[in-house]
Formats: sequence, C-alpha cells, structure tokens
Amino acid sequence: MRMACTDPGAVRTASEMDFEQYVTERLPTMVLTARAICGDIQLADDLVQDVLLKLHQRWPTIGEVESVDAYSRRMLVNAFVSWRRKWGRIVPHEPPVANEHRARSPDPAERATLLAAVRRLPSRQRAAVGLRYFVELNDTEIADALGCTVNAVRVLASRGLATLRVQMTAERQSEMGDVR
Amino acid sequence: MNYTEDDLRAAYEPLGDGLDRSLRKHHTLVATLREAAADGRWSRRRRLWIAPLAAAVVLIGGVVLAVTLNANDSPAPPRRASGALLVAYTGKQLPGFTVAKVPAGYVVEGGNAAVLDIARPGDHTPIDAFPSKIVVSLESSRMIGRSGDTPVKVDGKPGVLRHLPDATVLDYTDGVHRIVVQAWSDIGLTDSQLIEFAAGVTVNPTAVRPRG
Repeated sequence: MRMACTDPGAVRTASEMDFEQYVTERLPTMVLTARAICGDIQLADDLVQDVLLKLHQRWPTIGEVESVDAYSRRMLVNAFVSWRRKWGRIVPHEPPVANEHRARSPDPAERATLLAAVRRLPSRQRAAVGLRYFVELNDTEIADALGCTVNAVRVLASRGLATLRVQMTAERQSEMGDVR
Repeated sequence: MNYTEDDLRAAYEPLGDGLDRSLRKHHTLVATLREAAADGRWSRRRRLWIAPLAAAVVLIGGVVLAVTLNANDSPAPPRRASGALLVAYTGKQLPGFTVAKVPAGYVVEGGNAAVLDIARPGDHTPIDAFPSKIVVSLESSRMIGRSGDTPVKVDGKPGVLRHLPDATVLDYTDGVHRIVVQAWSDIGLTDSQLIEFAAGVTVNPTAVRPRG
C-alpha cells in the first residue's frame, strides 16, 4: 500500500479549513498512517478515534500549525506510545491474510510471518518502519512525527530492520527444526 | 532468512483491507461531534439570552405578550441548518441504482432493483420502513409535481421539492426516468444537499419501477 501523503493540499493550516472539511479530505490517510504506526487494524481505529476527539477539541486553538497532517501524525504516534505503555503486554490481533494478498504475493506465508514480526517490534521502531515502508514518508517527516532527529529515525529504522532479520532467521530455523 | 524492502512493503498490504468500514465508523464519530457541538452552542446562547429576554417580556407587559403569542401571521420558523455532511461513497452498490455521495455515517444498507435504502450501518429495518433513511425509487408517470411543490433543478433537469411533516421528497427526472428521493428529516439534509445527493444517483439498466 503506497499512499500519497505529502500532496500540496496536505500542507494547510487549521485556520484555512474547518474540522469536518479536514477530516473528510484526510481521514483515509490518517487511518492508514495509524495502521502503519501500530501494525494492527483494530488498534488503529481506536487510535484514530482518540485523535479525532482531541483534534476536534483543540481545533479552535490549533490556529497556524504549519501542517495539520504532521500535527495529527504526531498525535497518532503519541497515542500509540501511550497505549503501549499502558497495555504493552497485549499482543495485537493478527488479521487473517486475505485471498487477494495470497494471489499477488508469491510467498504469503513468509510475508504474514514478517508482518507478525513487525508487530513485535518496540513501539518507536515499529512506527519508524511502518511510516517508512507502508506510508512511505521520508526520514524528515518521520522525525517530525516521532519528535526526534533524522539520525534518530535512521537508527530506529535500522534497529527495527535488524530485529526483523533476527526474528525471521529464528522463525526459519524453528520451522526447519520442526520439519526434522 | 533474508527479505527485501519490497517483501516488507508487501507484508504491510493486508493493513489496507477494510478501509471503508473504518472510514464509516470515524465519519459517524465526526457526525456525533458535530451534533454535540451544535447542542453546546445552543445551550450557551440560551444561557446568555434567556434571562434578559424574560426581563424584557415582563417589562413590555402581558398584553403585548398575549398578542405575540396569539399572532397567526408570524413567519414560518427558518429551516433547520444542515446537520449532515455529504461524503463520497465508495462502499457496496446494489443492482438498481448507484450513488456517488451519501451523508457521513450512512451506507447503502438495502434495497433491490426497484428501491434503494441509504441508512445507518446496521439498520436492517424493511425497505418499506422510511424513518431515518433516504429512499430512492422510480415512479411510473412522467408527470412531476403537484400544487404547492417548489420547482428545482437536479443536474440541469427539472424536479420539485415537497416538504412533508417528517421528510422531504425530491421528485425529478434524469431525462429518461422519473425518480423520487425521500429523505427523513432527522438525517439533517438541507434542500440543496438533497439535490446534490440526487445529482449523484445513477439509475442502472437493471432498475425497475416498484409495483403497487
């Protein structure tokens, strides 16, 4: 899933449009961003609802925020990190791999395993990897969303990818052990 | 085991599923927020104005008050402001009709080749139950309108609006069919939104006129 997340219309201030107009235009992007950050559809819906409530409450005072999209992305990341702190031991629900994905992915089982491994990453690594590979934000935008430097984003993504490699290798060895 | 960046992107693909369902859920929340905000504004205005207004009424006196209350030529109350937001519809469509827009939080809930119901998700009342729905159907006659109707244009074609106690009816033609759209008042569509909704309705070749 590749998303046009940085179209010129996205860089508008809150005073240039009303809350409903913003939500109507940007809700799909917001939902997919939430899914990228947390790796889970149901949890993403909860995060979006939480952020919509806060955004609605703050809309009159958001004023001249440079980019409402960037602002709402930060809110989503913060909501997810808060959720993880509170409910960190809960393993997210894993949706079944749909038939259409089986058809277009040559090795769906391995990709389902890969997504499961993504869901086990620490929250900020998971968000960095998701925003880079699902939403396809650049490192500057990810840094803005995570509230850190570009270098920190590179470190988070690099560690996330390394962890995924380790997990996938372990998974593979475990499968081979089962076969033997 | 090695994987490529494309593998990682492909692994995320299932997260794009069920987007419509999520969007409907969130649009419902936004509609609720709008209603709550409108109620809050009314409450604040009431607090600000009711006390001074009551004092003024006492000063003016009972006679004037009685005259005011009994006046039959007072203007009709203004039509309710829009309580709905029309959004592009990307969910399931049914054989008879295709809709381009629906009120936020509403979906194509049911229908057949003769009737289409737009309702809240989970509203499984029969298709001939009209409360809280928009119902689209065809009429047999080409003649549109009756005395007291308001003439309008739907996508450049003639139509009329009829205000009933609980609903607004838009009776119009698309050049080929005579179409009737009835919107229940609690949905909160304005007349212009109802016309905008109707302009997005396409009658498919499979549509038939309801019997009876």
